[in-house]
Amino acid sequence: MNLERARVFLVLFLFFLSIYVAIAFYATTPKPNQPFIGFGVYSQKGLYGYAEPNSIVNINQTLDWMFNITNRMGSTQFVQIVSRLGNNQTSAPNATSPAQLPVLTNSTLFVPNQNSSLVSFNWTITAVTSSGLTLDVNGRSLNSTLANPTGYLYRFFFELWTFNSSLGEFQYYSWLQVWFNVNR
Amino acid sequence: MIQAFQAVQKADDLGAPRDQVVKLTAQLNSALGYYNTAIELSARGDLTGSEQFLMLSNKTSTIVTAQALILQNQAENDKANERLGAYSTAIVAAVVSALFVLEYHQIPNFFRKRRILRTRVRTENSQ
Repeated sequence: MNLERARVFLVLFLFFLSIYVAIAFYATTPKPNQPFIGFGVYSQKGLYGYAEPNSIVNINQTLDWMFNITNRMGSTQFVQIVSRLGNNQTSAPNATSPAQLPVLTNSTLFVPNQNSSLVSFNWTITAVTSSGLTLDVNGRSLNSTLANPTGYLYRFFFELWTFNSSLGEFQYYSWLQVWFNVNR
Repeated sequence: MIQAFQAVQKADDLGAPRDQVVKLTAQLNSALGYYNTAIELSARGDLTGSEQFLMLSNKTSTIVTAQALILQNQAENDKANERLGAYSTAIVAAVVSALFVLEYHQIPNFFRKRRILRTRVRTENSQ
């Protein structure tokens, strides 16, 4: 009789154990989520369809822009924002590859998971010549050899790169652009 | 700095407290700032200043790495304790549930016996 009760107890114990262990496993396992990282560019005046409200930039006019990088990758990320200058003749980056244009500026920073970080991009066009633009970005003077006929639009390409720890290098992630015209 | 970043990332993956990881990330950004200043000074020809900032960057990175390793250990211990607690509770709950089902038929008897015992005690007191 006792042996029979012990057998029944064992069967019941194993039955309940399987249920409770499944619950414990579910409770202690990290929930799956869709990782992503994104960025946007903001201006105090606002950007209409990624163009300044009047989209015309005067010489020596300073524009204070801000990048907001949002990290939902599940861990801290080391990111790089690369800026390049283009016009309507140059080909833009796409979903898989960056633009084939010279790098204008390059900012790196660490962004914690479930957090957003800001990076400023204050820029001024100091001169326009037949051979290109002279810019001041975050207090640093830069020259671009991209020349445009009067009335033609320029555009900034901003690319987000993330550091791949296993490869030990930055990898291209996504991009955005802002169009503008220069009032000479 | 990359080593420090990888240590922070691993601590994050192991489930270290978010506020602690955010603090370490801020320190990493400081180390990165020192490194960038060192590069700028070096380009300007100020090698002494550049070296000082480079040392500051390395020192900050080393501190971050050490703190990240502590966080990793804490996170691993917390995770192990959490799992131990959850599975121990599962075993205890399984024993209690199995006993409950096995002895279920005796529960009405148990209450009946208690009721009879109480009635007997009251009767004896009134006499």
